[in-house]
Amino acid sequence: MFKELFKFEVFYQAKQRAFPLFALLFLGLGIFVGRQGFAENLVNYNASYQVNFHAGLFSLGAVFIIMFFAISATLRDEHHQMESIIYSTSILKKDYFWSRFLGVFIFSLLAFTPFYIGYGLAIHFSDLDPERLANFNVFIYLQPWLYFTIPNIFICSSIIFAVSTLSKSNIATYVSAVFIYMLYFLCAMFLNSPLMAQAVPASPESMIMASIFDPFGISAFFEQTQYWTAYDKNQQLLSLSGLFLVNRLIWILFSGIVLAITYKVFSFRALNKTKIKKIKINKEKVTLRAYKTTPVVINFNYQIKAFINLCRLELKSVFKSIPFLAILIMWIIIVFTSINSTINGGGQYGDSLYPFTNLLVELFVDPLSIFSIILVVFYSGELVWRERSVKFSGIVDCTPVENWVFFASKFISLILLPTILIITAIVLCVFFQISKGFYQFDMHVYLSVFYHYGVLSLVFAMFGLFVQSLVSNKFLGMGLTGLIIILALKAPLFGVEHPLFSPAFLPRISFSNMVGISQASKMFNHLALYWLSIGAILSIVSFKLWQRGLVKRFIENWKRLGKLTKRVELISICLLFSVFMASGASIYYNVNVIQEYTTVEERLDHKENYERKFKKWSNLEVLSLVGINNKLDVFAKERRYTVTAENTLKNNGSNAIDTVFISVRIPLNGISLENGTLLEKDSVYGTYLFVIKPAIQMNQSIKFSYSFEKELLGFSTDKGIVEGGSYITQRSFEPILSYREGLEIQNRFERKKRNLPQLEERVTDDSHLAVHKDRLSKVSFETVLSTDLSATGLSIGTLEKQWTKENRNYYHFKAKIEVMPTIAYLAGDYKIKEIDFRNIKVSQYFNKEHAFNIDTIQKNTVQALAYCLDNFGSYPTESLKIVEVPSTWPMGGFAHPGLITMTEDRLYLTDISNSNSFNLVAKRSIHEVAHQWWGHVLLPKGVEGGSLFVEGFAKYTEAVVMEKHYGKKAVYQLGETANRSYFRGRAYASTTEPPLYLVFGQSYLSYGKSYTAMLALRDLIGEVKLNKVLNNLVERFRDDANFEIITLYFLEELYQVSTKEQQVLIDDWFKRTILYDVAIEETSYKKLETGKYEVNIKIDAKRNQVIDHGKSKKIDINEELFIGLFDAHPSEISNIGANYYKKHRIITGTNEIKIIMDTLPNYISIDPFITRNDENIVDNTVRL
Amino acid sequence: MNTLTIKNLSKTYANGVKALDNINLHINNGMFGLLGANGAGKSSLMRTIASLQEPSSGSIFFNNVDILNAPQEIRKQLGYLPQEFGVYPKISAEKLLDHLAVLKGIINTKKRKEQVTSLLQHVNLYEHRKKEVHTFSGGMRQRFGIAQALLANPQLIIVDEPTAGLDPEERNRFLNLLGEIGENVIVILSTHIVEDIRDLCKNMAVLDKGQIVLTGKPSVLIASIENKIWSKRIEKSTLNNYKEKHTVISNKLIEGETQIRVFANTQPDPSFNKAVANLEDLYFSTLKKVEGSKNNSKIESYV
Repeated sequence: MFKELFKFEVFYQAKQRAFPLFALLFLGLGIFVGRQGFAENLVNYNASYQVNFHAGLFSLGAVFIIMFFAISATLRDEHHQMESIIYSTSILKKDYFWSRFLGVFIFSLLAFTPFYIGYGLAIHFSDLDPERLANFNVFIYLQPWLYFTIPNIFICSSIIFAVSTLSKSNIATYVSAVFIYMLYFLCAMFLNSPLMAQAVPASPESMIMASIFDPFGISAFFEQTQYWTAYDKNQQLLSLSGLFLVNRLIWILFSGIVLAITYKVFSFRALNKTKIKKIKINKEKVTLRAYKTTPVVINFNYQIKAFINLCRLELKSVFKSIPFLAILIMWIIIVFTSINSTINGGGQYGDSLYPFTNLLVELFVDPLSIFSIILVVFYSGELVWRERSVKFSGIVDCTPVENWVFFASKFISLILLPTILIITAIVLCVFFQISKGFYQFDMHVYLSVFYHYGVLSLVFAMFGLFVQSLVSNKFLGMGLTGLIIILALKAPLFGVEHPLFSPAFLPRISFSNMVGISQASKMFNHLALYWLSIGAILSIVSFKLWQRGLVKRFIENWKRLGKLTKRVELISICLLFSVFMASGASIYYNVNVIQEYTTVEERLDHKENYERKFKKWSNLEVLSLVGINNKLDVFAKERRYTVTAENTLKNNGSNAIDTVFISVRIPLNGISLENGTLLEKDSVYGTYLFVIKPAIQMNQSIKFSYSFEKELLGFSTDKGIVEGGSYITQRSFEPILSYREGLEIQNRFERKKRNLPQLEERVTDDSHLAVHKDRLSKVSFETVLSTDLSATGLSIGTLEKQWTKENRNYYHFKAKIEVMPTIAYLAGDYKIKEIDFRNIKVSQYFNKEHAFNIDTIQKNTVQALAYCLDNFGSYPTESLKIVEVPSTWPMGGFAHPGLITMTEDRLYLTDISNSNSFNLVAKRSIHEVAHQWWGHVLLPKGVEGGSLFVEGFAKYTEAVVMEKHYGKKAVYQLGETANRSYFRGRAYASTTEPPLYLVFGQSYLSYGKSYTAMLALRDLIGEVKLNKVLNNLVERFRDDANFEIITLYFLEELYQVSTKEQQVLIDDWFKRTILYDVAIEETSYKKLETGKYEVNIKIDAKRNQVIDHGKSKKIDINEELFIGLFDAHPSEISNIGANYYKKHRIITGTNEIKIIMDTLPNYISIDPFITRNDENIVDNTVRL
Repeated sequence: MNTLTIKNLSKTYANGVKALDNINLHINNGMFGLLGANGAGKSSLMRTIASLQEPSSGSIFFNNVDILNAPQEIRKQLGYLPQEFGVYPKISAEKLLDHLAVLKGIINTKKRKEQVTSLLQHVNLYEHRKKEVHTFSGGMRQRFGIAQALLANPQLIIVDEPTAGLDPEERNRFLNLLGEIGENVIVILSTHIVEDIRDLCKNMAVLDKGQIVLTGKPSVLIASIENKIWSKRIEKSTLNNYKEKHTVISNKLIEGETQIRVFANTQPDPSFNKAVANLEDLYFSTLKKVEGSKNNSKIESYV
């Protein structure tokens, strides 16, 4: 019996037109994904990691197939009213149930599997960089099929099949599918999967949670591979172990149980299961009223009344439908968790943010689009076809309600759904604000969400209704709408780049107190008008196609469109069309005419041509900028600024210079070089070639002047020019005095395609560090800055003079000493707070609404200054300015000479009112103050290793000052973050990891490893000795205008104050890449007769050295590490106090250590404050 | 007096099926019965009149208004009970009827409530008014359908197979109500149950394969076949012999024996008894005639 049934099931499902369609679709998807050649740099396109990644990710798409087959398997009897016939046959429940389930499972699997075929073929046969393709190995594809595809399809089939079998409802089936997605989505959020691209790394606990609860196993996959370097990704196979195994087992087991329960509960043959609500039948005697007709009034009023009634009914039915409620609940959970985790200690350092409206809104707008789209796709079909699917259309369609009323009621109901999501989210935000005692509700920001994030849903709703009015089947309509939306949103992937071609280019609009509304809002308004007018035209068409009664065939219906159009409709279409054309033209004008519009391809062409034309100048000797005297006028209101620059250039080299090649960033109005003749000018590439006569000799200087005006035209934006706080850096406009290597195409394969020669690899050996000549030099600086009357102007140096002329403020700043040429010009409406500390004037300039942390910033600035002055030598000038800049600047802060810029959200709006949590404000303040020494007093040469002096030393200063004032727990937090960012960073690194002393742009080294290395160094030789070394370096190089210091000098100084044994360790940390793996294996204790406790600790220790290209080998460990016996977890310890905290020698393998304690500690920890790079620091500390 | 005039109405579906074939009808106040087998085109005709479907050609005038071009005009005055209908889930009879009353144009709340209550009483659903309609049994749902067709002030009531699923008592109740209402408005009753028409309709038409094959007053029509219907009880096995020799218009089992009814101008042979002609005989003999005429390609004028 089962065999026959199953055979029929196979026959039936295979005959569904959808089966070949799905199979083709996934084949196409596979080809598309494979051809894209997406893989991190250094990772092969067909690396096991990469294939698993794609297979796991796209198994999400299988849910659609499963949904379809499940519906067709379980609901077809009911849809076609075959139930009673089927159920009255002699089929056994078990045969019926399992044959149908197997049908769903097998066909979903069959329809998905072509993905692999397309994917594999595309990878191996399209023109991807052959150097990044490993040999074909079928197991690479088989493994994800076994680990992801089969289990995921089984899991999803079971759940969806169960829901559709038990509920017998289409929509409940969709919801179960959406629910599975949401679960994945939540897990991805908790895990902070690389796909979600959030800045904040997940805690180990939430990572475990996510790995287990993600039904697709993707989170577990990311957990297992999170620290895999490119080498591992290419070499290692995913292992069916750990959390990944747990995840697979739990979910397969769970699905099995779900199936079994469904099988039990599913009552075969029971028709009409719907529980009939017991309503007391009212037997009251009522007088029979005679039937009499009631006259009707069919007028406009009536239509309105009907409209209201219809809307109410639609909405009621939506609200009562479980799917909507499920989506709403999911929505609330997501909004709640994302807000809660951010404003309550969800930052990178466990920091919190003040619940400013704009910050909260940012947190839900991304999921909002996803949820809105889901609602729009499903409900556009459900609403349009509702009467027909319940067969009620015969009755309502012959009422005198006009078409527009029906249409409008559906339309309004549809767009109310995303609106409800927004309202819910806003209510939650307000709730959070109130719960935090924060009563500053920015209503305009809340209201703007409806516009800035509602327009897209509205446009998609219009598309959806249009599609549904064309098709003759609701599911076809939903599929098409979904497809259109995905194509629209992913348009850039298909090479569509112009904003006129997809609503996906509606820019993201945000608010910040300093900027107000994003500059992109102009573009948004234009595009919104453009898409809404298209949407409105489509809506009129769909309204005209609105079908009453029997559904006509498409062509028949379409013909009708022409004949029945009324004048008013024609006029509106014409009007809308002109709005559409006008807004389109305006967008075109702004994008293509005012600005220069270039495609990705054109930009690559530009780069290629630049290189071909000008590469010949790359070997010219280059002049150094030694003096800046700029006149800069900021017209923030008019979105422009002008610069007139009088610079001094000097020949720091040993050869005479007679040719100068200049590349500009911003087109210049004028340029002149003393004694120079302009030989060649290329305005397309912005280059100038001067010949200088007589040639500039060694140490000789010449004048260099230029001027330009920068105005933000069209839709262009510039975060630097903002009324609330302009921030213009010298770097952003200054012409470059050489060929720009940075413009060259870096992608090796792209270069090959264009027949460009391979880029030379940088030689990095010790001699190169010393020989390399850096053309960068300290500069003398002077500026006259003018601002609008409402703004205050700021720049580097001392304010010499200030005046007002012609309604503008003028400021003359002059640096008393030569400075690093990282110059900034600022203008904004600031509040000011000043204090004098050891003859240094510390002044803060900040937005008047952002006063929360000003005292903390001041206190920590002073503490950091004190520490640096005491340990690293004098501060070069008499003032330090700290200026707030808008949150649109993607940085924590930036240290200019004597002037620090800090962003509004990352410093000023960080909520540090909870004194137990990590004080991020202190950390950032100390860090930037430290840079006044590390990066300004001490200027490294621009070669490998340089950033150790800048970031490494600043991280070190940050740690020691934090420890002094905020205790050990602050150091734990810093160590944890640094260690994790090291491992995360090297996992996604695009180049091979160099040793620390050759760090060159790898932020995971300069912010991550350099921290642990410096702290390990401190523990090794002591803070005093280390500070002395740093101070020596400062004094040796502080008056050096030409950036000479390299890491080798630092190491030399270290060797001088350390023993032979210590020198080996120093080399281990700075000159090699060594990973530690220490863990507490076992602990026990016994009470001694003396009343003391003997604590026994078993420690396991290993070290691995990374040798060429990521391969690693085991090496011995033999060094002293701290062991701590604490009454609290190291992350909670303020002071060591009475706790045990001493160094012990640790060797390779098992170490047994006995410690006698007066009282019993709670925690035992090895290397408690994370001074070694250890992937797993959780096992460094155990509870006794 | 309302008038409904249908002229040369034809409908051919996309798949080539000719559902309506040159229909001409003129209907005045009162009950009008439309009789036809399943698939004869009754529902197509009804839907076309109810503006739910467009004909391929022809015209329909209601009170001299061309309702194909002005469907709103008919909708204002129409009560329609489709042959098959469902309802929204999770909404009570009273609420749904009230909703429909609004859609039909009763915007005065008090008047609406009055009519809704009265209709619920008339269809015997008053005590079930708080129940969700989709939980109703077939008969109850049908009664709900009838109630909604009578909402507002319909001048043309179209009921498609209304008595299907009703028990005899409900059926009587409903037909009486219709008969009562039908004095002042046009009621088109489509059915394949002959008794419904015999009991109630002043006028009737028989629809077969999209064509009107017979129109007239039931009594007059029946009179035309008076004395031409003969019945006989036969052995079942001999049925085919009779079919070959005679125009057998119907056969049915009576007390285990097969009784055939035959149409013939004179007594076929003495073993046949003269039977009292009824509407059913008329219906079947008409269909037979049409079939016969088509088969033999000759058209006999009738009645």
